[in-house]
Amino acid sequence: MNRVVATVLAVGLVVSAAACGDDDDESGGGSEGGGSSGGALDTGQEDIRAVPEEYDTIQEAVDAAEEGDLVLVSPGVYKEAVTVETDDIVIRGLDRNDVILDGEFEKDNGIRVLEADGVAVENMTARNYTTNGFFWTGAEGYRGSYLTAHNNGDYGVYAFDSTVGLFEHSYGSGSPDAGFYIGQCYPCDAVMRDVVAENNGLGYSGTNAGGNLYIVDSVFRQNRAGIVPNSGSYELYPPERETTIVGNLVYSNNNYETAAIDSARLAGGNGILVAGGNDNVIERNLVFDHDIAGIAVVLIDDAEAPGGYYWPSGNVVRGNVVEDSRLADLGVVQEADGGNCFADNEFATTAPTNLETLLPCEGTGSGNPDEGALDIGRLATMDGKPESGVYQDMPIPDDQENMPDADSADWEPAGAPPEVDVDAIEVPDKP
Amino acid sequence: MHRALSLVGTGLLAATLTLAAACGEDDNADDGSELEDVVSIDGSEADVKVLDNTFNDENISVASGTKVVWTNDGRQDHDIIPNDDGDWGVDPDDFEAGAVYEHTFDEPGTYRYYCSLHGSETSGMIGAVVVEEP
Repeated sequence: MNRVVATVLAVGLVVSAAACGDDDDESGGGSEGGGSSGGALDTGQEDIRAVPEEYDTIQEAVDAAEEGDLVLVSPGVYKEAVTVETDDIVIRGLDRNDVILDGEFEKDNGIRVLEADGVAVENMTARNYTTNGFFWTGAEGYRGSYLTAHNNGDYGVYAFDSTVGLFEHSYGSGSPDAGFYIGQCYPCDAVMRDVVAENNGLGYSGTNAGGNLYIVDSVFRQNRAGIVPNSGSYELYPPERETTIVGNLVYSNNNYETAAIDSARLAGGNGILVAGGNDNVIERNLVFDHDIAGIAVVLIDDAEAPGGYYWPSGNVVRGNVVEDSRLADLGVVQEADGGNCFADNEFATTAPTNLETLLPCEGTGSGNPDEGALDIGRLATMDGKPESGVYQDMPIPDDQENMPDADSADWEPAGAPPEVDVDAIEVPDKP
Repeated sequence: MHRALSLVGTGLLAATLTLAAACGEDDNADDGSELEDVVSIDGSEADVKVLDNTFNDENISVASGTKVVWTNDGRQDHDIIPNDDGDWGVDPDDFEAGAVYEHTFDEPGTYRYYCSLHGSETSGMIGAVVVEEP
């Protein structure tokens, strides 16, 4: 499918048609995934559901949409909570910063996609929802592009029990849990790239996620903790595993003013924290200015886990640049045969000491794992951890970059995410 | 507590529903669609874990008079909303992480429910209690 969105002029024509009573939503004007090309008011145009020109609300347009349609939203503040249950539609705002879904701290989710495959949401803002800004669950195929989510009560941009996805060019702030979340999926077959998370409890959380899952070329700053893939029995399918975290800029995640759930309070002061996850690859990230650890691989206690803990194993931490961590730039707490390894990183301190000698990625390690061991107590206790702030009061972000040519670009439902050339990704520059 | 996985199809369930309807209890009548992976639970009490964002087990069958206990073992708020607007269920304010909600089902029928925060009547975070004659 490769169609061209009509210009504003064309939308105007659609409005005119609607005014003449031709807005029959049941007319079958949609092409059911066909590929008519736009530019004229024909069947292609009928695939466009314009809000508010044709439909008063986004929900009405979504309910009318057929597979392959575009719901095109003009600037305005939409005080609604939208549920999507139709496969393969695209919901696009004409201006990311001026198409605003507002939950008024009363409604639950800005846009939630319930078991609908292939739904893409583009170029808009969701704010002030009691749970999530943008939420996919039970979907095969999802995409969020040029989204802004701020001051939402759980997550900003959230994919749960969903696979084959892409989050890109998006921004999440002011959530007590995570700005971005991909959870309960294996293999996830998903990519998160070029996103910014700040002022959240966690920048990224990925409970029980993994398998062909890439978090790349993104920024995680001034959250309580930056990137936190973890295992937990409070979702299905533990443990977390096989997430590739490469080329990210992770800094100053010591923001104790954020709203924060308890696990975010516990994790505060860490840049990248693998909590009970396995076989993750953490490479070529720039990580600096953290009160606890720059990159740490640790266990997590969980009453439902075998033996009461999820232990980390098989994680590879290689080629990162880590600076200015008050406890340790690199750290690990593992079982004796954990198989986690550290190599080719630039750093000043580790816990235990001489970590790259102790746990190399090639050959046999040597040294004393008890010497300078990571003080897991700094992570495991809530004592002294600052209380949560109030998500409603978190800073309102500046305007974010718009999707190019939102009024004329082709639209396409979510499909397979792009291949990630991991080897081509370099350590990002310092801001 | 005995738990057994079964597929409730058109046999016993349909008969149960037919009986319920005949007795004037069609408020609980199912829509006829088939529930899959129904876990049968014996005893006077049946536990359902409420995770993020799943009822586990999603579909259970119990004898009438059984108390069903939902425990929010997730990190997030959830609610329990009966599809048929029955006079049971719990709001999110009363069902935060760690909270427990219980309800005793005395009448046979199929009681479908969902979490309105993470699902709808038909998709997402949904569940069902099939109540059978003891």
